[in-house]
Amino acid sequence: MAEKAKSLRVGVIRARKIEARTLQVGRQVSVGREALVRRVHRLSVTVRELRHALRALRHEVHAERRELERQIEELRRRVARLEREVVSDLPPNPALEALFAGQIGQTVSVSTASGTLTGTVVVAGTNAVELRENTGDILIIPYSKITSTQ
Amino acid sequence: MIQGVNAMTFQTLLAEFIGSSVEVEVPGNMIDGTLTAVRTGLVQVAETPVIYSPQVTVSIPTVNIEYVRILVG
Repeated sequence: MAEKAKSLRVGVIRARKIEARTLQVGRQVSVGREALVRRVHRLSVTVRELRHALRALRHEVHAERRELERQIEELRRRVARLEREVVSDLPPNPALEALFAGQIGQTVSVSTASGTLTGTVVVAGTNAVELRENTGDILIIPYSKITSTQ
Repeated sequence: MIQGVNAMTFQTLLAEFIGSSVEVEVPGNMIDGTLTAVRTGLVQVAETPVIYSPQVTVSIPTVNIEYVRILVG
């Protein structure tokens, strides 16, 4: 039995019974220089890979952010358009809007229940068209009142 | 069709001419005077007064307007 306050260092203990007030069992691992170098090398490779992955992730996040900003801008435009449609009590007519937008600067004749009006297309709005007559007067005609145009 | 934020409506087109002389065509009638206000669903025109008579402001529901002529020339 070991004397009190003295440590016993042995490779193997074979015993049926060990009596002790405090029993400490530890594991001492000695690492050689080469093993350390290998471990450091592995760690530096891992760090390099992580840096690479981080750079790729940042790039991906940046691209994602730009796409989200583009979508937000698109949604803002749609909301603005819907707000205008809600505020206006005249219905939009995308087909007439596109038709007049393609005729900006051209002279057109527009028929309504009150008669036929002729002028140069100035603005193709969402629910009305603005024409300039030969006299210089301006006409604003809601699409909903147009019966035909040529 | 997606429009930009600057797309114009009947109201915004007309609002540019507040203070101008206008003719507003409604079924069976033409109202002429000075455009004083453009509101949601409503356009107001101060009718050209006949001599010595008080000026009358006419409110016209937007949905009834056939067209508006702004007298510039």
